[in-house]
Amino acid sequence: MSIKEEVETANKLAVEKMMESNPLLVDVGLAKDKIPGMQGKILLHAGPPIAWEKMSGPLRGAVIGASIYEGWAEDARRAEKLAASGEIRFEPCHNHNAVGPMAGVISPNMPVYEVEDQKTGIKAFSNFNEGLGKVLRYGAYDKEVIDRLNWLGTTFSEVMKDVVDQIRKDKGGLSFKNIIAQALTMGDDCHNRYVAATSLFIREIVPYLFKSGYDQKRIQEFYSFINANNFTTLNIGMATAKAMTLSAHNIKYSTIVTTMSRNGTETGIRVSGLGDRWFTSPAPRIKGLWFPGYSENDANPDIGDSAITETAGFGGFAMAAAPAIISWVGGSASIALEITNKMYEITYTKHKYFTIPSLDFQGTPTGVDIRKVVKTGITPHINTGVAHKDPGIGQIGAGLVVFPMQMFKDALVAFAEEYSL
Amino acid sequence: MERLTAVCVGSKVLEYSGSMPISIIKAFDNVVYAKTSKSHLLVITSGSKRSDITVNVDAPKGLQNYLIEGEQLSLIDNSMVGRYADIILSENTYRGGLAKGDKNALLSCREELVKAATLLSILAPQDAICDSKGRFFESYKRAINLLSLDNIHQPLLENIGLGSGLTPSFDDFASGFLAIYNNYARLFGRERIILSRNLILKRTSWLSGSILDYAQHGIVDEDVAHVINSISRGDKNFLLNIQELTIKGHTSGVDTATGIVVAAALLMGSEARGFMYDIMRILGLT
Repeated sequence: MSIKEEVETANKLAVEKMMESNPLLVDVGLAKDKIPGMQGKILLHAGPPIAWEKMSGPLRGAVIGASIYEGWAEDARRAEKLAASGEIRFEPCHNHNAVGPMAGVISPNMPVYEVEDQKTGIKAFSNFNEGLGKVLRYGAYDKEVIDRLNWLGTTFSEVMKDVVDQIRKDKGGLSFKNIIAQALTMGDDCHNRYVAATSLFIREIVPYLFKSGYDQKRIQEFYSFINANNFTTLNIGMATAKAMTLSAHNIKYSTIVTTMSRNGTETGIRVSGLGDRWFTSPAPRIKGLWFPGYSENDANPDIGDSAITETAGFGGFAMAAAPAIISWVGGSASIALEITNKMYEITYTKHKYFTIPSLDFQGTPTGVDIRKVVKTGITPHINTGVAHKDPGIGQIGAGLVVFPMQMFKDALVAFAEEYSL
Repeated sequence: MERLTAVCVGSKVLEYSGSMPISIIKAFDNVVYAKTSKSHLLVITSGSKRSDITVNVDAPKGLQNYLIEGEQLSLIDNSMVGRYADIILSENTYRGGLAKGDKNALLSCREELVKAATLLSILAPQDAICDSKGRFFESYKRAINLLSLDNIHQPLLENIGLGSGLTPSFDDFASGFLAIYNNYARLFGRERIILSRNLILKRTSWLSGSILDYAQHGIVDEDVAHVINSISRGDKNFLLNIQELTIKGHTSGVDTATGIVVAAALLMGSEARGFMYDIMRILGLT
């Protein structure tokens, strides 16, 4: 077989595995008990590997907040000193089969969702969503943020675990893949719009919530938080996408991208046939809409693991399915369609199960192929939230991002080095 | 009348455009091909790639909105004047040309050339020279297998025009092949190969033949020059430049790059045996 045929065969297998994976939400637990290698003073973060010295403001802010949450430091000054001391291990979430939106910081005592692919047994994880505005994932760390994290880690996660346990016992787990498929036909892109997905999730869990045995006040508190935060299910969607893309990872000769992520300083990708090696470029600036009082000058460059959604064939790639999201990120319906159509040019196939109603239920663009990115000169387009560049502030807007080209070129050169003779 | 501004003018443009009139022979959205009365090709593009025969213009809309096939342009003062648009030529001149070949640098690139062959093999679009499922693949393969340092002229000339598209794949291959071969031939004790323009034009279109004719004399777009010059410098950016070239056209960039790699392998084959075979095998051309 020629190398081109090897690549074609490998890519077909990779996207098939990605699309056919069957990830179920099966458990909730503490990161240190669930995520492999989470023992000791370790913090996971979004994007490719990065040292404290090079971390952007929002990532630093989240590290400070997580250190306070863990009880490793009493205040921001001590937390910064601790981070600079080298005592904390900083590792990418992706290196632990985990994902986190924006700063993506996961500490050992944070609760996480566990998603398991029923086909391969691969497990993927994500932290809990805190809502919008002043939150850890956007780099905020004041008392309000830490109090909410404590509440999520106790009151909220206990109920969530109870519900997920019941669902697992009842039907093996909750298929968020099915919810994504349905939500894409209801106006969500499942990256920045989770209105339908979260509503569908509520429909799934309410029967189990009734049976949970918690008192009405506790249930109401739990429900109200989810109901007020459409992004509750973003993290479950991301863990689901991570499980899908892990199914496609480490396939020899495959040029399909299985990780796209940003840490606020650099953007990185990993490619199925090139193992766990990262290829990076400087994180791009975001073109967006700003909350009152803020501007592009206040914005941090792109950050977050949430591009795992586009990697798995939804999110920004399905923007044509979600015209309502466009006004939130500063575009137009025609731009949404244009972006989705462009993404077909750089992907291997159309998704079997994720479809876009306005395109006659055509499958979403799925499986970014580094060959096509280089040949067309088109890089992945995503939508995203925007964090303030300074630690401690939080979200200041949302917008559209075009990934840089250089890392795709570097990956292709590495591919040629790996597979030449 | 619209007024377009040229941001860069190739070094030969003013010389050639003095041959009045200039006829527009093909107009696309981002590139227009024109022919001078002395049968020189000039290229007007809204793209950024430069060459000695190219005028790079700022155009708010597609070039077809300003320049129509069949119309004639005149050179008046410092402008190319057409029916619907003037192009004001800037003083920003591009002078291309290939860097002097360096035999040792070329020989040091042997591993990079193998990697380049791998890249081209996996990047090859449908019907490119090295697309083993392409319509003309067997013919390309036969022609390229006949190539040896002692037999270049005939296999190239006889297959000019082979393939489809505005510039047939074999023409692009031959352009890349001859551009680098002629830059290095003397360093390997060989004569340059110049195909007769008249014979070229008997086998292919005027446009494609003109591009090939320029290429065999070392006049190439800057993306082609970057690839060849990076070999001459033993530059690590060689593979990145190859990737940049593959973006051009549907198959044009890949085919031109394939020609460069095959010619380089052929030249090196005289001193590094086995290499030519490895590269041809990776490209699927043996």
